[in-house]
Amino acid sequence: MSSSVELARVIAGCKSGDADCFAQIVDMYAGRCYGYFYRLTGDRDLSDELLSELFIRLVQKIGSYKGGAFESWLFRIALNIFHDHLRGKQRQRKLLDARRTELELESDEPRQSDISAEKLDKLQVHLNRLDGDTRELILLRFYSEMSFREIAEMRAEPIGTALSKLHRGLRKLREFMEG
Amino acid sequence: MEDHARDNLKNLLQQFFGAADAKRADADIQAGDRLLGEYPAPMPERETILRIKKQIAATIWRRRRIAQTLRRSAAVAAVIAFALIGLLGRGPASRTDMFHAAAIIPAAIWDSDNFTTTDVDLVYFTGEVHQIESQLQALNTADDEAPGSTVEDLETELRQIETELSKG
Repeated sequence: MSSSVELARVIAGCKSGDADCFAQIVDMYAGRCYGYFYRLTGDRDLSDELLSELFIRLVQKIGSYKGGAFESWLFRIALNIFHDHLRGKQRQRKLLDARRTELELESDEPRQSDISAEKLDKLQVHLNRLDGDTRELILLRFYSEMSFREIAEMRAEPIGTALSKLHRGLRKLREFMEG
Repeated sequence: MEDHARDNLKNLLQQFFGAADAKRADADIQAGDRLLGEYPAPMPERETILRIKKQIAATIWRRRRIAQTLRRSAAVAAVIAFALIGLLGRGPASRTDMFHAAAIIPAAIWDSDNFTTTDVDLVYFTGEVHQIESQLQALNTADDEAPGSTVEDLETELRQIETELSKG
């Protein structure tokens, strides 16, 4: 049985609410999705949370999957979850800043990074030096294995723009790593 | 990266960058991909995967329960709605209802003014009613008479006693 036929069977099982089929989807995609979240955040605990959220949302939304590239559909949800997380983080930061101003407790020390440097490998450090949008594009392409046309469509940007960003981003990353 | 995606990217680069630049861009992108491959991200812990599977099973169970509850509620609501339509939606009595009620009254009533003679049951009940009426009349008469005569008798007796006392 080919992998696409097998995947179609598993997805049909998921649609009928079969927990075993969902478990199979977890086994198939957890590694790639976790890697994607980890490279975006550099935080294992947070990646665990985002991965859980992804599969719970998959259960809730599987009825709306109408065929086509499943990876594309799944990584679109993953990207939305990451954006939701960023929005939540921005809100939290705003609240914290407001409270800090209120209490006049601003310290002269540089603000501690969200991610402890010792947790990060070399690639993670340099990925974090790229701008968020380019990092997202590079990682989405690497982990989702989607075609570039699909990626550009998902990001709602012209394909030429996305190609230039990818090229510049990867070249910069290599320079950082070698430098 | 799958081969078809790689071919697709090569074609796209040629379309957008021209042959020479496309070759360089493709080499840069391939080198970037290799770099990402050399530093694999960690895999999720086994416990994390097990926890996610448990969460999924719990979510499915919860969703099924909600769906069942909704179906039951819809069924109960439908029954109540039908009952209300039956009770409230009848409106003024129709001609059929009136004919049905009229059928309870014996046909004799419609045929004769003196219906007591044409319906056996009615004859019996009318007789009963008449008997009860006469018994009541008799009792009333007895009530009217009995206490009166007793009082008169007592008065007569009292007068006799008074007369005898006054005579000494």
